[in-house]
Amino acid sequence: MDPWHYLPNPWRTALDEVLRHHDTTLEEIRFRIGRPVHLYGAGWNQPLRHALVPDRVLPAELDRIVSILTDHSVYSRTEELRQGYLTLPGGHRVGIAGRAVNDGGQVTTVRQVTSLNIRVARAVQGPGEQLYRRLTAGDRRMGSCLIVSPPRGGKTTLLRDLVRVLGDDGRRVVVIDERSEIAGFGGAGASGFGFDLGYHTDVLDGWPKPAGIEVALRTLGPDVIAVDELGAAADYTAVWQARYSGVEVIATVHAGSLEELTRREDLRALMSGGAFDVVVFLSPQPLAGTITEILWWGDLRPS
Amino acid sequence: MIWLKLAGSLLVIGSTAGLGRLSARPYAERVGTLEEWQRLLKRLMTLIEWKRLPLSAALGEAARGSPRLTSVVAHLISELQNRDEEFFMAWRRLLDRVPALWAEDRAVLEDLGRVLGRSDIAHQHEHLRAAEQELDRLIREARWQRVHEGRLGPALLTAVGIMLAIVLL
Repeated sequence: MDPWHYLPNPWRTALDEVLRHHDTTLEEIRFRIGRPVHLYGAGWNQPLRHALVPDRVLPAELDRIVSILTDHSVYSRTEELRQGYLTLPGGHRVGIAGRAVNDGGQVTTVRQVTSLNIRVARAVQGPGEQLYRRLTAGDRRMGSCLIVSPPRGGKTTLLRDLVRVLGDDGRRVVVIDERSEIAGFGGAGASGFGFDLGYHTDVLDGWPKPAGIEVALRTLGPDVIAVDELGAAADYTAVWQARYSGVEVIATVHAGSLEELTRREDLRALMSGGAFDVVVFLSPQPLAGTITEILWWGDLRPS
Repeated sequence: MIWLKLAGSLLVIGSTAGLGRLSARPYAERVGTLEEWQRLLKRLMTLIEWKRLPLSAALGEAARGSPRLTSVVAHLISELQNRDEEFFMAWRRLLDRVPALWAEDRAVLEDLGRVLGRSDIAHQHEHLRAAEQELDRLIREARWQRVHEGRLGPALLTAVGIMLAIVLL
């Protein structure tokens, strides 16, 4: 189901009608207080103009949308709200900007929501297979792979498709889907997920990456573990734990270049220690998911 | 002739006793309804705190087996599937459909509807606990009324029936 179908009216009807012509390339729907709703697609953006919707978004409207997106049950989504997002069934992510409520230095929730960014999750089949063929050309072993790009570069989409290819190829893959974006938990698929992740794939939905990796290693016997958006120190430690257990890891991380990547101490240690056999760089231009560079461990190894 | 008079008298006594029982029914109904609400809130607390179920699912599970509440909660759940519905408005309509709620009972449950689902687990616990304590107080009050005021009507009406029967005879 498209993410705007989870919105209340008049937004749902208006977006349904306006997006009839654009829905295959739509990437984001942004609500900002005091401004019209704005749509962003691949190479285009435009304000939402429709007779049913007001010219400017009001604060009460954003509160109402958040209440409906949480199924009137804020308590069941506090961990996501604390981190500034909500995931909708099918893997669509809603970023939430507003005033943080702090308790002892920890953000507990967001109040006075000022903007929402609804990102459309799509299954794109093909790039994962192309990458897999490229990485295994000439009897080369793919091994562990790190996918790197700036935000909106197509990391999650490529990761999802690569997992599908590996899962269908007979590898036992465990996906640690902390934000329910990779598998799209609660989606319309027969497996209960929004996306096809391959025949031999298991999903740990909603698990924090370190705990999920530990459980996967202990109980699910994976050949490959897939995780999205490494960021915290504990994530890097968990990747090492998997690698020391003889399990390959496919992960994604935010960075624009190798230089940016290696400026982060934890990541530099992962790279120089050989946690990843190959690093794939993506660019959002000209299209999200464009591969700009592939570096092998031999290229990265400190001399 | 005497048999006819006797039959008529019995009919009058039976009717007035029946009317008396009818007059006591709201007191008994109120106690039953409040007890079911209290059970529902206790279960709801567990389902929210332990399972973190969204309200629709938690309410459906909590109301299971409550004769007065199962169908009205099912109606609320179907209303909430419409994504334009506001929870509090749907909750108020649910209270309209619950039989035997008195104004003070309704006020407690309406207050709960204003805050249900709108905060984190700790605050939901506090709200549910407060509502449960209020219901506990109302149940004690309702039981007292059932015993004292609920007996007055049947006793009076049965006495009137007996008097009429004596006059008839």
